[in-house]
Amino acid sequence: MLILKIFRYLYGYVRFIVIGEFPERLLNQFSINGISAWNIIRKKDYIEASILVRDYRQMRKVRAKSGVRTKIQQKYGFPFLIRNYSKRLGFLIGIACFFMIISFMSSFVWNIEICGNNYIETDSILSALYDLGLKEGTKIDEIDSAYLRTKLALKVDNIAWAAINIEGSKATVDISENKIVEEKNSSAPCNLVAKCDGVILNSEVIIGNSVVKNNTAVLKGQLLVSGIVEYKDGSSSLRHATGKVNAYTNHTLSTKINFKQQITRETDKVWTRSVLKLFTINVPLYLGTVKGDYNKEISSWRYQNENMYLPITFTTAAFTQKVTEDMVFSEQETTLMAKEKLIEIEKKELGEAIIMSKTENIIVNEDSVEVKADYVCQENIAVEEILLISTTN
Amino acid sequence: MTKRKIKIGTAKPKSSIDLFGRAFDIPPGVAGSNVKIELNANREACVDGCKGIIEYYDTLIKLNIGNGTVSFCGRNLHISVYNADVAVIIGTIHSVEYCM
Repeated sequence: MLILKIFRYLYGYVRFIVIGEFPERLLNQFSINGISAWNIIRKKDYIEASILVRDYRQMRKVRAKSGVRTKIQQKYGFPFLIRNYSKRLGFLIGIACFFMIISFMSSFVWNIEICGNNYIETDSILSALYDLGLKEGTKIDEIDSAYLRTKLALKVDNIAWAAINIEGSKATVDISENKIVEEKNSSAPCNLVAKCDGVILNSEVIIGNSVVKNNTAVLKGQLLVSGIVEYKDGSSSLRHATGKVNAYTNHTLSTKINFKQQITRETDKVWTRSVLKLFTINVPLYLGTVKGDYNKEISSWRYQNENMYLPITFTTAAFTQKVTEDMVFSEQETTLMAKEKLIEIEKKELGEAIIMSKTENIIVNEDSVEVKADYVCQENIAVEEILLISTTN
Repeated sequence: MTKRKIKIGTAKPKSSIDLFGRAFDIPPGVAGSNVKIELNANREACVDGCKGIIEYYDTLIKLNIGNGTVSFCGRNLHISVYNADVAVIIGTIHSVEYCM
């Protein structure tokens, strides 16, 4: 009977003794007057019993009729606890403030958790929710879950449905994503055409009709392997041409670097600015602003565990000053830079091609160095070209 | 030697409610204001319809049940709950005696 014990503790009760010739009389008066007593124990000269505080006041009136004396042994319960601390006003105010703050803070959303998203980014969902009005610090009473889930599915692409559950101060957003079905173009009829000029070295055709011979020159866009396959009986079918056509190709790449360049570099000056974020309110912990060009690095910290986090974030931004200077490089330095840049372009443009030969030509101008390179490569020049079939007459 | 006939269940009902209950085979105590005593082994007795305490010692508790008394004899007896018309006696009950 834990509830009964809690009830008695909240109301307060007294343990008292009944002294007299017939203490049973007082107990009978309890019964008549509707007073409830418990733990009534007979001792040698008296009876011990417990009753609620409010009943004890009433008991004083009926005590006279029974001709006995009573004496309180012990007082228990919340009212006596409060009375003990009633002189300590600050303590009482503190307790009141504690409950008020707990009650007030519980009426806001503290955490937002996104579940069920695999390929949709959590940040994009949080951003959409922010726009719709659900963010850390939103009043729980103001959240219309049915409206939000509909709007969220409309606002963020590839959400099949969404559910918003509020559990205490935590909003859990369950997302179900659309299943992405990959378009199957691999079976669409297509030809293989040349992506650049070259001389055919060999062909490895898996599906389709090869229309070029080895050691013949081809131009960019020329048909190499046809996707229209003709059979001996005169019939034909459209197929997805597959294969490799290796050819010798020529490429020319060039780059130009000026002797005079603007170089941006970071200095040793670093300004640190911190911001305390309470729910959605940013409290700056600094004075003044950072002016000029700078690189910004942001780091933030907040307490979190597996289930929840506190909506109090401490963000620190480090502003590193950067300056732009005009610098003049020597011919040797500029040539080296141009060569390095050419290698980058080479990797990007030629990709998987095998470079058979490379001829570099360095031209030094008045204000710049130009590096030109001629390449002879061996590469697969076949690229797919979808066959457009018109069904209209 | 004459044989004495023993009649069972033919005692005259005391009230109209008892008469009604007997007519419809309703168990005694369901209707009316009878005292109900519930014994839980010999450790606890719940007396519903208690009108008062006549005697209270740790070996004997005698209760008024309106039309008589009921006495609980035993050891370490005490009343754990006592309110308007319910008394719960706990302890080791050795005997229950009615006096009507």
